[in-house]
Amino acid sequence: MLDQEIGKRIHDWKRQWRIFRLLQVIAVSIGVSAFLAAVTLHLFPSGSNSGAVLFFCFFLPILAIAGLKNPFWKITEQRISRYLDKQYPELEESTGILLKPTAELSVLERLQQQKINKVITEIPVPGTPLKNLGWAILILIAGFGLGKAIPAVGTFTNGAGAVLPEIAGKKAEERILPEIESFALRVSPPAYTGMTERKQQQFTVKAATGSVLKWEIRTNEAVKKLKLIFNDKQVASLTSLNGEGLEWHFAKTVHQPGFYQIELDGKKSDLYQIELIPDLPVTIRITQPKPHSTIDFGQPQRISLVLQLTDDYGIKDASISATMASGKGEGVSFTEKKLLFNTNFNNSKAMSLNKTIDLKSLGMKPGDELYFFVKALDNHGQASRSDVYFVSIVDTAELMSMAGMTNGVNLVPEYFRSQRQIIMDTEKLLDEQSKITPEAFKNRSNELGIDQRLLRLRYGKFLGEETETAIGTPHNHDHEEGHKEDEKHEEGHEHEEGHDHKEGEEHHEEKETKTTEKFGDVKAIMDSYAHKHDIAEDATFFEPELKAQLKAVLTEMWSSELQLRTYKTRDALPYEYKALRLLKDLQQKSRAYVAKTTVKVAQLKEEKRLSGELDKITQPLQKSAFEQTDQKTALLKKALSALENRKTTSTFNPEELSLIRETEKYMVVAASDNPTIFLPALKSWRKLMTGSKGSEKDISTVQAAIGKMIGPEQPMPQQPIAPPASALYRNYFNQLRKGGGANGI
Amino acid sequence: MEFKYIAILLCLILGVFLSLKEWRRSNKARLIWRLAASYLAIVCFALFIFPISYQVKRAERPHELNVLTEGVSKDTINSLKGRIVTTDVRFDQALKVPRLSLLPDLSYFLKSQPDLNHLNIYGYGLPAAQLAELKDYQLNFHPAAQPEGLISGNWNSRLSDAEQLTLQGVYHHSGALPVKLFLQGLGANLDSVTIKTKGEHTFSLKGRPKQSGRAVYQVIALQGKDTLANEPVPVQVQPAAPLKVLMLAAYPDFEYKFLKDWFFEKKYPVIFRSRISKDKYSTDFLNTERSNVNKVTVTLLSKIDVLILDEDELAALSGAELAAINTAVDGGLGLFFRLTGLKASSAIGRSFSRYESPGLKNKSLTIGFPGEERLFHPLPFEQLLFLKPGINDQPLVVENTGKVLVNSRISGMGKVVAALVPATYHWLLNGQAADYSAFWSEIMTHTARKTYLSESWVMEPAKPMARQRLNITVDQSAANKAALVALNGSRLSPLQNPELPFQWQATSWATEEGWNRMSINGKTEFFYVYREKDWKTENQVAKLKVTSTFIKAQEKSRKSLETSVLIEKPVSLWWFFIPFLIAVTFLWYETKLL
Repeated sequence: MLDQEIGKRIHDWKRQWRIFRLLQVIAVSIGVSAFLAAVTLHLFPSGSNSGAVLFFCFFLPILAIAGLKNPFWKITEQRISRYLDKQYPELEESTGILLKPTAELSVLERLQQQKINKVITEIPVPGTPLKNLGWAILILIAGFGLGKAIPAVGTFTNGAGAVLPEIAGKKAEERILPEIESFALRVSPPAYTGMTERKQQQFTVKAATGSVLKWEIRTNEAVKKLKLIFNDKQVASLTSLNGEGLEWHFAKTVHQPGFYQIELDGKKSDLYQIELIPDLPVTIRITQPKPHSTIDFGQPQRISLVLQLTDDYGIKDASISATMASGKGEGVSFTEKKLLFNTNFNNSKAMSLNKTIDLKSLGMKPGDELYFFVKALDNHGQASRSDVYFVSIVDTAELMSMAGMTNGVNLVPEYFRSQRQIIMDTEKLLDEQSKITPEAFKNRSNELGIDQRLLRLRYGKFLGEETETAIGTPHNHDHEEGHKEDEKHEEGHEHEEGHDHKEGEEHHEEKETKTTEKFGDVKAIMDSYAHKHDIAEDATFFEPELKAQLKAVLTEMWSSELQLRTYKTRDALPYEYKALRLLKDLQQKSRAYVAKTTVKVAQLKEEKRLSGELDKITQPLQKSAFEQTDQKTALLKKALSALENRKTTSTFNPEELSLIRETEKYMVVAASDNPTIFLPALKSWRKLMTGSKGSEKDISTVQAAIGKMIGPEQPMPQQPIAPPASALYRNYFNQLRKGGGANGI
Repeated sequence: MEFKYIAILLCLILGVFLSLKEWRRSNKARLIWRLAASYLAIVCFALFIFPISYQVKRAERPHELNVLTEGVSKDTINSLKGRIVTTDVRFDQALKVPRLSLLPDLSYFLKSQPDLNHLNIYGYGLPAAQLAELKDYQLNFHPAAQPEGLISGNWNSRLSDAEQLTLQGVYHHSGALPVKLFLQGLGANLDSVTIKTKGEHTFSLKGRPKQSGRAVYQVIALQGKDTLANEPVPVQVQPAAPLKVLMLAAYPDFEYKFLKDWFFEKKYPVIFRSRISKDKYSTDFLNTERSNVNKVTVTLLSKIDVLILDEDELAALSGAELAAINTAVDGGLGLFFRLTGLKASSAIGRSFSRYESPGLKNKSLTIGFPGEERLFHPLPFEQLLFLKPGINDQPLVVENTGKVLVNSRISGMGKVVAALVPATYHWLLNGQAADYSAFWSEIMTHTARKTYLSESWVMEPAKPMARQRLNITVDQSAANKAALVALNGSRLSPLQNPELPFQWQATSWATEEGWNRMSINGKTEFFYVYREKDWKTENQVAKLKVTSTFIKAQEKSRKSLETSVLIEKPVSLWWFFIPFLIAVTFLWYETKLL
């Protein structure tokens, strides 16, 4: 008795805390698994009820783990007493005594037990278990919140889900003749779509072009005649099964959109729409290479082609059609080739393809060009092709040739030749590499690098670039180079000198130590003392486009110099060539070439020359009147206003009626061309014409459709209208003019 | 009247009699006193019979009436003291306030209650006709707050084919949600505008009606899904009168060719003459009869609405031809003048001064109408030449930085338009036919010769409602002839304006809602009679305005109007009775005691 009473509070706590712990574990596992299930569903979207399954898949293991980690069954009186001892010093580490039966205790212990029993009723309830439970519930709420929020972030919709409700929505408004007991419409899409036959319980159809539509209509009483009328023109009479007039079947392949209606013994149904989904050709997207690409010297002679193909039903085949052009001038020859992708197309809807075209194996030489495009065929047999892409291999021999140079105006020949010279020297050096010592090779390579640098600096000045201070002896090399050049360019060279002086004020000291070969060159001496600035024009001499090109040249020169000066002479060549090519492009820009042709002039006949007499010249007169081929627009415009009248009077007068009747043919044509837009209007039109039951909404629908058929109204010049000019106004005006009004009229 | 004098006479006789009696009395002591007392008694007695009254100046208050009109809130009514009436049946039914009594005819009621002299008008006020009957009363106006919604709307209701319908108005918006205004008609939306901020907003909605004939469009105010207003916009479209065009070209070019074809396809009569050599021309007669156009004469030009020519051709014309053109332009002909170079080669050309501006070098030309935001698609050529507008000029087309390219000027009754745009046909080549049409329509409409109507009419009120009085004013060019006006088949008798003999006024009543037929001098015209609920807010605002201006004017003219009145107040009879009593008591007491 006493035992129980003594330990009662602890026992109560034990029970309470065990429940708390259990709830805590469950709450945490529900929260976490809800979150995980939502994430999984988001990443791998699947059916509608898989969410619950996923949730339980997560929930059970998590519950087990959490339960084992925080076992509620391990909450015992002993543990509680230890916890209480730790938490409350006033219990004097004696809570354990309370749990022992009083009989087993010593006198002292009994005294202590009585004391502690009093204390224990006074201590506050420890809050930790409750707090833990609170946290767990927070996790639960957060888990659910996130689980709800994640699908809203971004949804992976699968098209089918979106289409279905639309069809379902339309179904509700379809009106069916009461004689029809049941019907079904089988839509078998053409083979190329790869879709299976489907059956629908509505007359409005949306199907792929070329689908076979099979109507199975069952009437609730015997009907003599059942017809399907397509686009108000084609009439298909149906024959009933067994001749009973109850079951009717009809099949038709549809290639054109439009509408149809069912006629049961002369009783016509509503109009039902046939909408067709056309098959689109394959779309080809080439991501690599660029429309125009050039393969420079030293670059691998192959191109890698990366493209994506997409089609709505399936791709059957794709290939590259390549045309090579070789030769030049009149001797250009073309070879065509078909290159295949070595893959299986398998009617897949989207593919990304790679192909490396080896130009050498195609037999292309430097100077040749390749034009290619990609052809693709979808499974319906529709072909599509991409734009034409150009690849050209630079002909180095052409670059080095002087053709076109000799008979033209030399704008910047010196620089150009220098670059050419560098290439020639580089090639010569590479030829001689085996014969000379590595040391000499390196020296010469370095010298070439210095030449290249100088050249770059010169071009840099065109761009208004400041020269850097360092490296070598600019003048020395200048002169060397200058001597290499032809004599006739001396003048240009001297001009160049000047530039150099301008640029490098800081070089003066250096220059003085050099032995100058320019004794007696007064100009040079003067220049060295004069303080000349850049000519302002130089900085803005070129168009931005030209500047960009010059910059590209400089970049190539930089790279070339780097390779030369690190003794990778062979690697420098591609850069040198590219620099040369760009330079040549630059140069060609500023010239136009007109080839010489011979002219043969016919002999003049003196007697036929114009005399200056005009009397034999007739004055041409043309007369024509514009004939309006059809009165469609005028008729439709009048119909609009007749319909507007109908809103207030609720019947048409005979004149209006005939006017509106005439619009029918236009409505039918429009509806069969574009049933989605004009079919509802045609239905409303019929309703209006059959009686007075048409509502104002029907009138508006018809008016809107007619408005669309008329198309946008374009302004026309109008004769301005003035109020009646009475004699009084005229007099006033004339008096004003006579008086010479203030504005000088 | 007679009684009064008889009574006075009797009193006088009584006085004489009493005096004699006193005189004859032996006791002469206190004779004076007794006489005085007797007289006093007689006078007081007389005043008994004829009580005297005096005039008092007092502020007049008691005879006032509260007239409620639409727009009064229930709280206001509950706070009102005194008698409240209304003339509006619907308002009375809607409010259901027991104290409120309905007066079918206010002026009749006022006549029957002559002491009423003060009216308090609450709400949106009364229409002008009713106000006019209240001019002898003192009025006090307590206007209601400005109503929300479409408080005004105006549009060009009589259009010709393909002309633009422009509806302009004011919307008073006070809610937090934005309001969208639509111009709707024939099942389609023509234009819309969104009003977001509170306050009064002016708006403009545009569209081209497609029908030929009459139609009622709507202007609709939507707030979310609630329709706040749906007002009818009746519009009638008549076929456009074609312009007769004469083009004189020094040499044919594409601009002429495309413009000619554009007119041709619109079935407008066009004569196109281009010079081949001296006095040799190639001529096209499109949609018109053949005639001799080798010489430009006044008779030829009188049949033409627009003359289009270029500067080179103008320079090649003879003096007589130039004079003919000048006369024709002063008589109303529109002259469209294509300028080409910087240098003027003719007198008319010199009056349009040009300048060169290199701002558009290597750029395409983007132009538009001045004051309009919409710009046309750019034209792919560089334009360096511009016109310098003078004081009397009206620029018609400007480049998007404001430089003038087409300028116009009045000359006599006609117009001279000079243009520096060399090649607008690029629009047609680029498939921007709408731009081409808009450009040339605007310019040609501006240039062309005006047609003078044989009669025009105006209706007052502008938006007539059923059972409203209509005042129709007809202007006609024919003098000395009465205008024939018939409304819905019944002839009216118009009244000639005594000052303007060509103006005739007729009065009638709107009977049927919707389209009504009117015939003026045998020509059928239509006008629309609105339902009472249409354009309600506009009416309310109009009433507010009319009432407050009426009352303001009344206050001004009746500044001296007595705000207080003189009232006859009778002197209390006690004032006479007590002295009478004292006098009689004295007489009695004296005989007995003294």
